[in-house]
Amino acid sequence: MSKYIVKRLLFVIIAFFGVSLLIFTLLYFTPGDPARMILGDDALEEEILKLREELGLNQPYLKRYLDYIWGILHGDFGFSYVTGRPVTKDILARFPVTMKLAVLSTLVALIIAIPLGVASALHQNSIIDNLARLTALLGVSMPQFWQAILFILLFALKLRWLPASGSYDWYYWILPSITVGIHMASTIMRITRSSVLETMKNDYVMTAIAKGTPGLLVILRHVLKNAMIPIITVIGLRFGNALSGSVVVESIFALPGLGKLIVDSIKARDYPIVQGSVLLISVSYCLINLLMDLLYTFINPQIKEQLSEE
Amino acid sequence: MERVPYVEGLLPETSEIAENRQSAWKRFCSNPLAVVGMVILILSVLTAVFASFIAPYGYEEQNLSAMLMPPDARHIFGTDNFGRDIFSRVVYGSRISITIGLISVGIGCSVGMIAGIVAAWFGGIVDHVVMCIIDIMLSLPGLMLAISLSAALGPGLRNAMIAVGISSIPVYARIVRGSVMDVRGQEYIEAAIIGGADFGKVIIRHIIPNILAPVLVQASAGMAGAILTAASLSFIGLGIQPPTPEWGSMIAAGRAYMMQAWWIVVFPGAAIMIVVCALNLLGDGLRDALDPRG
Repeated sequence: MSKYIVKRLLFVIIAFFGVSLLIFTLLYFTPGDPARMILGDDALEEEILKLREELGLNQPYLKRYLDYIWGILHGDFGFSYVTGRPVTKDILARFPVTMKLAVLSTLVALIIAIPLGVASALHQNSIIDNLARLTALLGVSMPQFWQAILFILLFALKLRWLPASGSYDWYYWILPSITVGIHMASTIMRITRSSVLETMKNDYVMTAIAKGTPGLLVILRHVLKNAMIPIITVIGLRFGNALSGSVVVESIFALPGLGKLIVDSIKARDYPIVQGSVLLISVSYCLINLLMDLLYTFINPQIKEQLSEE
Repeated sequence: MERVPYVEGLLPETSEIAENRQSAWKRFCSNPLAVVGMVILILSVLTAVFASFIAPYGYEEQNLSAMLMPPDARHIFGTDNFGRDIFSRVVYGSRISITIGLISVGIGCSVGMIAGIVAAWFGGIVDHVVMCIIDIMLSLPGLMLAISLSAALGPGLRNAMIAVGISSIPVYARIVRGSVMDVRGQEYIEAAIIGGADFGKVIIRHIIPNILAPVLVQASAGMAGAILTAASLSFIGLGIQPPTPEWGSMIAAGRAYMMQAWWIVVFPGAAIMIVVCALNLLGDGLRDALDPRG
């Protein structure tokens, strides 16, 4: 068991280095001279050369990457090309917003997906089932940014029930989290449906029903508990979608999170910010999936047994 | 003499596959949703091919006396802030989205298949290294990889296709690796190797036909994903740039006018949704047809 955890943790570390190398390399080869960008068009050639020297832009690729990693390990993500402020401060200030949106969206998704998925499985091929499947299909087929815009058109501009942008009060979060949540709910619902259907075929469910256990109890104790295992994995994976979905959704609803920061920084070619934000999002994604895997082994005694035997 | 087991092992397998294919096609056709998906898809492809005959106006044709006109008989989807006909732009936009979908799936699928086959076939250290790279790519959630690639490559249709294509490699690699692992131990593969078939021949004649089903299912769902990702990239200003009539960038440009002219943002989005929906239906139908157990 502990061996498994160590192995998974080790992968998170490998992934951290891998992703940082990937992102660093990508942006290293991106055309455009940062020094020229910081100083503007009418800067003198000597000034640009001097700044290049100062920023270490003349160093070879490997040296720059190692410096970058060394900095990150000390909590230093470098400086913004545009504002000159430390990146660490900017991205850490924005991180809670993105996390909050991802967690709220996951909650919305679970509230929609689990009951619908179970109902859909229990009444297979009924109207509820068909409607739920159609909704799930539309949910994954709608571009998130379009869905966000439709919500704004309907609920903010037409009906005036909710604000179109900003993050001043709790109700500002309703539209963004429903936008991301519906998208997540679609896949979670589909997996819940098939997982519940699969579990219902087991003999122990039959036994429970034959024993006269009340219906709801059978579903909660015998079906859902066992069906949860694949569902949990999908929730972990979908959490990543919530994180990356934040990119478009935050920009549309003007939420000051990492996603909006990434979009704004790409437009301004402020690559240290892009690097830092993408890295932070991907590390948190890996950690969430690790957590889900641990939860998975915790819920499923069979796997726990298997692992400790190994 | 040594070719005997090769032929013996192969014959029943091929006839079984052929039989399977026929019944898979029957199963696919008896699924109304899958057929609907395929019909919509064929119509979209036809729209893309014959765009210049279907669209009543050119996609860049401006009419400054008819700006932000609501849908009516002359402009069934209305006009945008330059007086361009939204319907014509949506029709031309299908060319871009379908091209992006096909080419990026082609890139992701072919590179992913090679990576998956190599990893599964050679195993050991090769497998570890390939899968480690794939896992690292997968530890960037969804859009993030495409966004980073797109930021590095710069704007434009070609770069958008490359960015979306590369970011979809891991999914194919994983599926293919898993399927090759399943097939690898089968007797007919061993027989083929003993029979003297070389690596390339075994891969092309025995492995690829047997892993095609899961790849096909993923490719059709993957094309839906690729179209969505490309539209999102254009929406946030990466990828395809205006005035090219790409659906995502049309929505981005229309945002500023959505208070007065909802039609600018609604119709291109609906087009994306319909095509993606059709691809998802097709993918589900293919999965059910090709894997009757699932």
